[in-house]
Amino acid sequence: MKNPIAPAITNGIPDASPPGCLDVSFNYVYPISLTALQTLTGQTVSILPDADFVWRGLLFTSTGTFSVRFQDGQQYYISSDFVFSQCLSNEAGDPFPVFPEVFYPAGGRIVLDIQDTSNAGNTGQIIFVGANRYRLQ
Amino acid sequence: MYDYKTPEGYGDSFFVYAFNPLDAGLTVGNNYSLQGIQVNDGDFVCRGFSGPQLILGTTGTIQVYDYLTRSWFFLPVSPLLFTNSLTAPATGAGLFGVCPEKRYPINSSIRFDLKNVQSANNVVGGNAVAASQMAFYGVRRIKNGRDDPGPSNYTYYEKPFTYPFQFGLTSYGIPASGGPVAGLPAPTQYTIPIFDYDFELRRIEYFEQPAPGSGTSFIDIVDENANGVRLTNNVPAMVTIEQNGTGLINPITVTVVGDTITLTPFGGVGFQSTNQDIVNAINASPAAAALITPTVINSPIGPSPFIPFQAYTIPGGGGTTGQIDPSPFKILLYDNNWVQRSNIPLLAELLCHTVQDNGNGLTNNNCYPSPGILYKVNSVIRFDIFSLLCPGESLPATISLLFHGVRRIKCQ
Repeated sequence: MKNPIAPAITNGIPDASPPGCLDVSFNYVYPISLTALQTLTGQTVSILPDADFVWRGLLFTSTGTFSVRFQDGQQYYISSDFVFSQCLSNEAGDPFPVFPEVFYPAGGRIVLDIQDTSNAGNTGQIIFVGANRYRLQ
Repeated sequence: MYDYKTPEGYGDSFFVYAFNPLDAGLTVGNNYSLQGIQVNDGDFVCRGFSGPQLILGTTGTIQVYDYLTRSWFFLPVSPLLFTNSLTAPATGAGLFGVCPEKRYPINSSIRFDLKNVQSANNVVGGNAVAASQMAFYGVRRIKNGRDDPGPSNYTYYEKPFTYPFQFGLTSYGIPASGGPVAGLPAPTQYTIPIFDYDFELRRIEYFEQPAPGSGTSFIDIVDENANGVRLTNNVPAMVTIEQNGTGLINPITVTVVGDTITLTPFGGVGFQSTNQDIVNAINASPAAAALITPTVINSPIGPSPFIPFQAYTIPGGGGTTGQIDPSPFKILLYDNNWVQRSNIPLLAELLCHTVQDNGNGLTNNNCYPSPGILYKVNSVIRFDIFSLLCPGESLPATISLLFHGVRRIKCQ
């Protein structure tokens, strides 16, 4: 560590791309738009066809509380129930960690169910922090 | 996890590229595409960024691009992500990490789209000093360049050590009453000598101690029966109050231009203004009420009409006490070789830590000089300070800085 008291990210993190691949940081965004107590299921964020995506962290901003659950790249849920937004992170410097990373294939989709718990209109964004994984020829 | 290795033959040194919307000629409220910061003197490896909440409105968005104009985000993102509150904007949510890091070659640009440009300001009364900035953190990578933290000429072990430093901000930033303006005041340069052993800087902390008010200053406008109005100056500047016309007839119109308050009476026939009418009229004008506080003085004889006057000046008064700005100053930090470590002076909150609650959330963007910066023995920590205090704040504000890191103690 070149500055042991600094976050690892600012010291530099070695390239973790698997052999034959190149990871490039990228962040998918889901725009939240809910009416009071509305539940939306099967919401999708399409993965671009040029690269796989590995999801490593989550951030959000919203005008009220909500709960949410996500599916992985094979459409399996990764939580047993909806997760309250109060348990997630809304600070850029402290994303909610997703470890090990969740893999989504190129052309695939991130599927999520989301419901408002604020009993009011709710807008904002969910950020899927991660990396595009390009396959090298 | 393995330690990061700088590519063979290159040196990495801590560097920050920052962007001021007003200095770049942007207009508040507008949207801009592909604004940029040019990367000079070496490649730039970006590992995080912070500050969109200080240059954008809450309904704004930002999209950032790499050197080939490939976007960082699938959609432009809200600056609220960079705040530490669920619903309200506040500073200090920390550094958004870029992982894997992104390299910008020399002479390329860090590009970004900005929607709804706004300016965070230090505000007192009707004045505002711009304190808006966004910063990209990382390292400058130069072939055969210096690598932070530099080596010492002796074998050593490390011990925590801090160089505290205190100075007074004795001037104001560049204020504007119609909104913030570009530019910075003249800097004051400080140096801290490094003694005994080499010092490796790893963190900077600051604390603002505002000056107490400079006392109460007022005038009494009274008649021969000691009935009248006391006008107390709220700001350090001298305030002028003048009457437009010969008599004071309700309703009174109050206008404020700079530090001058003008009372204009009703032009027709009406009741003569009482002392309370004058107080109410001034208090109904936020701009006037920010400058002076009026109170009625009634003598035992009883109230009477307010006496007409021409003009009075009220000497400098109390000023704002206790105001703590998120960034009371900008700082331009230099290394051991007097090479600056950012392209422009940085807001205090974008380089330093503080545990101080500024009323807008803790100011902690989690920035560290990383890798640490080495200051060799008998060199100096040099930095320029640019005041961002707003007229109306009391002077001097005392700033305590801590340069925290390790001493490299020579092994015997």
